Amino acid sequence: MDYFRLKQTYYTGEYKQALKEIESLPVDDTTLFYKGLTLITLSKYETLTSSSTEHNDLIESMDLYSKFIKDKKLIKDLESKIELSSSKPFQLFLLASAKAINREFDESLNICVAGIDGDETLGVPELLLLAIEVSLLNDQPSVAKTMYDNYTNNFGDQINSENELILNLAESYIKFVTHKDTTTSNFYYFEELAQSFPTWLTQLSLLNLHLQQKNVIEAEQIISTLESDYYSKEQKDLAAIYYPNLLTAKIILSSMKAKYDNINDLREELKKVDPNNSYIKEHDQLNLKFDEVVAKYSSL
Amino acid sequence: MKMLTKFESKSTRAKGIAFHPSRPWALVALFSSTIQLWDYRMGTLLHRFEDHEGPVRSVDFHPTQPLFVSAGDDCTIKVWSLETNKCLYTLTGHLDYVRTVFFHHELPWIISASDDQTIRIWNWQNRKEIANLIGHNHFVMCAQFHPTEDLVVSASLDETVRVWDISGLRKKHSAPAQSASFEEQMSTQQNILDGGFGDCVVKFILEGHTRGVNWVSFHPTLPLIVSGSDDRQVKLWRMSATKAWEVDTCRGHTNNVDSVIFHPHQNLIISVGEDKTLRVWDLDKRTPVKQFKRENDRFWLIAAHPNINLFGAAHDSGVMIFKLDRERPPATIHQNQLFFINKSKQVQTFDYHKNVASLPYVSLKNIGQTWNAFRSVSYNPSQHSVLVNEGNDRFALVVLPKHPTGAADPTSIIEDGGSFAIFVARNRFAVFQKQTCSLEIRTLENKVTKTIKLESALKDIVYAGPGLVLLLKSRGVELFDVQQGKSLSELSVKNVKYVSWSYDGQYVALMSKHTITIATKKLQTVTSMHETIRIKSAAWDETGVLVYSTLNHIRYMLLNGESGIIKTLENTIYINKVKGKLVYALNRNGEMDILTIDPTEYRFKKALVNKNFPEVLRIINNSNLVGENIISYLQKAGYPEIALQFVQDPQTRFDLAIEHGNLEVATEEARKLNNDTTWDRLAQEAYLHGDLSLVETIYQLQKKFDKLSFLYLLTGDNEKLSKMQDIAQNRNDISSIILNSFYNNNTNVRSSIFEEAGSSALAYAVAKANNDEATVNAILDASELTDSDVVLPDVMNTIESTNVLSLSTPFNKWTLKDAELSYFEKAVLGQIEDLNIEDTEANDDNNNSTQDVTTEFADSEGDIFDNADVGGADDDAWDMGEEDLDLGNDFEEGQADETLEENESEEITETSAWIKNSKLAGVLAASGAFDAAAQALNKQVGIVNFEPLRKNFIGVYEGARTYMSTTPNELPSIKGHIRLYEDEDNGKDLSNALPYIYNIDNVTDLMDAGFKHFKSNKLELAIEAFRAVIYSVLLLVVDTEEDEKTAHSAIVKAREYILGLSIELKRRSLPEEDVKRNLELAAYFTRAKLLPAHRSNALQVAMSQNFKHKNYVQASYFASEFLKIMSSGPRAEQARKIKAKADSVAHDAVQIDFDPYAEFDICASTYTPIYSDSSSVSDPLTGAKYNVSEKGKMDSISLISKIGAPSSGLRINLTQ
Repeated sequence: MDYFRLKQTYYTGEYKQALKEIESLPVDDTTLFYKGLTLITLSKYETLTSSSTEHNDLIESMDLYSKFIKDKKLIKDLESKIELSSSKPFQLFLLASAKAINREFDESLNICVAGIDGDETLGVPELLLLAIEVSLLNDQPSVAKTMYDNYTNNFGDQINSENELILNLAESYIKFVTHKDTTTSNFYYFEELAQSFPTWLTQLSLLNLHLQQKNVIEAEQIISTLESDYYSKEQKDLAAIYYPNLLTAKIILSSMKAKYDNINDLREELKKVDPNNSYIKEHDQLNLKFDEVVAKYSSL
Repeated sequence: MKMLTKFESKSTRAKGIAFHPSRPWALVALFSSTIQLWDYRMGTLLHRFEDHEGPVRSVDFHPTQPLFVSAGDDCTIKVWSLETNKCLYTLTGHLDYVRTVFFHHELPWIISASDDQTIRIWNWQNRKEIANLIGHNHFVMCAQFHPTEDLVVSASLDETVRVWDISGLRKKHSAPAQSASFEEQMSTQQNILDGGFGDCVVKFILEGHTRGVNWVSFHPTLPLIVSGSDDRQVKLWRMSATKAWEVDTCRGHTNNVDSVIFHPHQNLIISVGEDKTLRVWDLDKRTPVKQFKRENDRFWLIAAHPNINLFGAAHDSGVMIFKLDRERPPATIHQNQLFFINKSKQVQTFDYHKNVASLPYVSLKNIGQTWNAFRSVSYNPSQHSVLVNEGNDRFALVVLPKHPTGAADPTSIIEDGGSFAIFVARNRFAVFQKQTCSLEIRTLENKVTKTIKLESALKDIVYAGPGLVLLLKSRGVELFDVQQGKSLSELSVKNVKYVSWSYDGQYVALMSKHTITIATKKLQTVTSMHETIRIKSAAWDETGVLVYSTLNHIRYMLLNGESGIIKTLENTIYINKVKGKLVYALNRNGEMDILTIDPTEYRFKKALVNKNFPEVLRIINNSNLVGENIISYLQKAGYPEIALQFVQDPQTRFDLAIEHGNLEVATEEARKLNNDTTWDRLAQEAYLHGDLSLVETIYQLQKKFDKLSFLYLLTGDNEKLSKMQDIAQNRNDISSIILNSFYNNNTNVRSSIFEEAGSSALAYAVAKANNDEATVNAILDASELTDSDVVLPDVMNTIESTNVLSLSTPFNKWTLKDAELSYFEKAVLGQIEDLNIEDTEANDDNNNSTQDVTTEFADSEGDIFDNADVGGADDDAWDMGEEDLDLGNDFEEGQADETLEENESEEITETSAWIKNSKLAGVLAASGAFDAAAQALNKQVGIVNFEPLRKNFIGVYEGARTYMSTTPNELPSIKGHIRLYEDEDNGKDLSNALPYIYNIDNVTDLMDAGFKHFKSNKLELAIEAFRAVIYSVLLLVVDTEEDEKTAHSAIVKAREYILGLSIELKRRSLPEEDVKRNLELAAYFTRAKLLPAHRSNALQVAMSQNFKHKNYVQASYFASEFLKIMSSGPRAEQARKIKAKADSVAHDAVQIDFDPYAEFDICASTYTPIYSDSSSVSDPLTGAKYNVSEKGKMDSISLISKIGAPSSGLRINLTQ
């Protein structure tokens, strides 16, 4: 079965198109997995259906995952449903993803590794991508790189194009964190994506690469593109998903220019739309840390 | 097109040449039976291989293994090892001369062509012949594998060229051995017996040459073949899957063509022949492009280097290695951009700020001759045009489109004859006319406005500042003023090819092939240096160090002539800019390479040369500058005490300490080494220093009793000397007892020793000579002799007296004048502040005062402990040092603990690398080490109130990170870091990693915001904006002195505005009846150093207020000041009227504390004058002046620093 278009649309953030692609494909683990994730991202998930009972496990896991996304305390249900030894990679993906969302990175990584090392191959590239993301979130870029290298060395000749695009994304994340090819191939990768599939996701990714290169003017142009009617009004549902990322980029951009006048407003806005945003959490920590500095010297 | 010869060898007839794929080596096959291995870059003969009997006709390097193959008239093929330089084995089978031999590009095969009319393929691993290609019916002169396909092409004197299909051979020999059945193996063997017929079949026979064919080559990528023949023709053939046909013939050679190849990268054919010519042909048009002739030598072979643009030709008297045309991309710098011409002759720019190359502006393909590389380019910013020197005494003036949109043809071109065209002014360019030997100055319309006759021909013209050029001649360089048409100065330096000006235009580096001469801008030689390897390019860094490239190194050169290697290069590059740790260079493909270098070594040497010891110390503390080289350099340069800072090895430390005369360190290290040689050397050194107590300790340690005795004799320590006597007796060491008896003048002991040893005569003689009658008698009694029985020698006299030592108390230590401690010793002893953090470059005043205080303290301590144990005092001093060092450790650990991003893994994180690489406050804050950053700022500029800096600290942290969305989107975003510099090592090397922090332009923007508020009379907002300027500078990170200067002056400027505006705000808040204070504050406001346009506002206020309150004298003064700034317009008119009116009255109604002609500062807190005779304190951050009573309070300008706090000065420059 050719899932190339499905995966391409999903990973470039063309979620509506991804759902259309799924409609033209038969119901199987892969289409159910992507359908579930897409609907959850779009906040439209109710449940999945299949005429065959063989997909029941995945559907039940997806239901639990969707509930977890709404209430992070519900991870226990997911844990009791998905077993490390017997569950399929797609299911392990859901559990590992949930763990990572709750910032339990080591456990998340263990789950990914169990799935990658298992006998089942379907869903392994997806798990690998997640494992690499989790390693990077856990500040272990060399682990991410090793996992990537191991996989491409062992299966390099068997990777088909639909999985290659997943691996390309994984590689680009590693390069982003390790500052590899920042001004060359990694930048071109995201630039190419943003040109071929101009979506919120690809534009934001390119924006990040511009920020990483200190290309302030280009970054500002992308921000104004994303604030244009085409992105902010005509794609309201996607705008809602990615608005926090846009706000974060705007804060970074102001900080890069030492223009702090509007930053507080932006932060307040971000706090309002996404109180659990990792950037906000880090900022709060920084504030606490700075309080200590202020206190230390105030007695002098 | 030019032939640029890189190497020539002289020998007997050379028949073959081959290039090593990666090293600068060439094999030359000689007719005399020798094979030579040359290093063509250095021009040295590395080895001669002599095993062949008779002429050697062909050689080839293996593409990857350390092997080469040769063949010759002895019918053999020899495989040689480059590791042992020995022949590994010989392949035999050919029955006549072997003409050519080549390795296969991937399989372990060798192909050979022979006069026995066969082509054979050999497996060099199992040393077997695997195929014999039969078909030619005359000598086979050449046979080669196809570079990618399973084809062979051969040329024969039977006048044909044949293409063979050898895919069958590959199939058979790459099949796994175990899978071959017995039958298959049998058939393989049969096949070989049959001459490999089934595996290698003739695919095409190319007929067309009318005489024997000597050479044939495949095209590297296209389905083309080229052949050369005794019919003096070069033929081009094309083949498809099914057929091959003749395309065209290149005629021109006047004798046999012996070898012909395709240019590996360009559409050219290169052929050589017995007509002594080397000819270059256009592959597309089959027309001659260029020919080069040797006077007396027939050419036998032409070969191309597999990877780089080099060719080798073998001829009657040796070989020549050359390249066709220059590969240096023409380039010129304008401000922040490099304009250069890429490999495809397109004009591009490179932006040094953004580190990106633009799209092409135009394509210059149609300018000049197709195969001629351009020589140089010059840019004119006002016309946005370039002058291109085409390399054939012609130039083109090309106007560039506004924006780079792609390789379009230029719309405006002026082409004309002339060399070295270069812009000399906005609307003028200079061009040299060879025929008339004159320099022409032309307009942008190419009209000659001036012709200057020159005395000698030029090699090039280089820009040397507005209206000035450097004329490069073969014997000198001339600085020439093109406007006045006269020579300003001249320097005799030969064959200068390239020139590089320093940033400040004070120095120029003049480069010839092997020499760099640095001269001042007036062309006075500063230094000169010879390089054995060819010099390719150079650029100055911001600090005045010349960074240059040779064929294989990046090196540096200081103004005092010191030089060294920075980096080894694999490929040649042309440096065009050096910025901090980055070297920008164009490579031979016309692309920009950005290389990261470690400037530590040359900065270190430079600091040492300039005696900038704080900088030296900073580098020692902050970098990994180690290695034998630097130590021996320091020793040679006379700084053993600095070298001591680098080494841990006890032996080296000992040697350095001895050299420096530092006995304490030497002793410390000797204890570690603990061997006799070391102790002996130390003892000797201690003797020289007169430190006898140290000598004593050493001898005691070594148990050198006799030496100790001698030492005590020397120092007059009778007590210890007699103890030594006892010790000798206890040890029962006869000779030592005797020795000590001499030192102690103890005749009793001596004579009794003789007695005990059975030498009564000697014992008697000793006693007798010393008038020891009792012993004399005892001896006589024991021997039953009388005095008369003993005959003493005639010379024997009794000793009447001995010299008593004149020292009453033992001598311990020679008194030496205390040498002044060197900077480094002080540093080690903790006498210099901030050893462990980057604040070493405190301003001089502070440094001096610190040192003074320390010295005074040490002196008083010395008095107190005068009688105390000396060792103890030393220990105390060292303790001080250790305390400081401990502090440093805590500091480092503190930082590591502090950053938010540290994880439990052992990976070196980005932020820990940042901290490692710089301790500037901005870097620390961006790394999350807030406490360390605060500590630095507190020490540097006395900041105690950090709350206002909250957004700055957090801002630099957050501005150095960016967050990538993840998939699925619900995951947290992945954090990436934003670096100040992108390094070419692709993130592998964190040694240059630093966080991005806003730059000086952003600070200037903040300043502009302040001006804007000022203009619109929003004074509170303006003050806030100017404070933001000060805050932003605190965490700024710059890498040039210029930016640093701008930043510091931004603080001063902001201070003046804040002071002035605060005074004005205060004035506005006064009650109306307080006229005197109102007028004073208005007057003080005019004293703030504002920009003239802004100061006019202050003057206007003062003028009108004074006039209003009938202070006419003052009003007149302010009016005059106002008119100095603004002499026209309605405001000036008003000022004139006020002045006229005020002058007519000339009386002040209110006496105010303001003397316009007195020098005074204004207390930034009380807004009262501080005259030069009254004392004041300053704020360490803003430099604002205060009455002494304000000391210890908060600075009212910045609101963050403590007035009068000790400080070392703000540090924001990465390079210092």
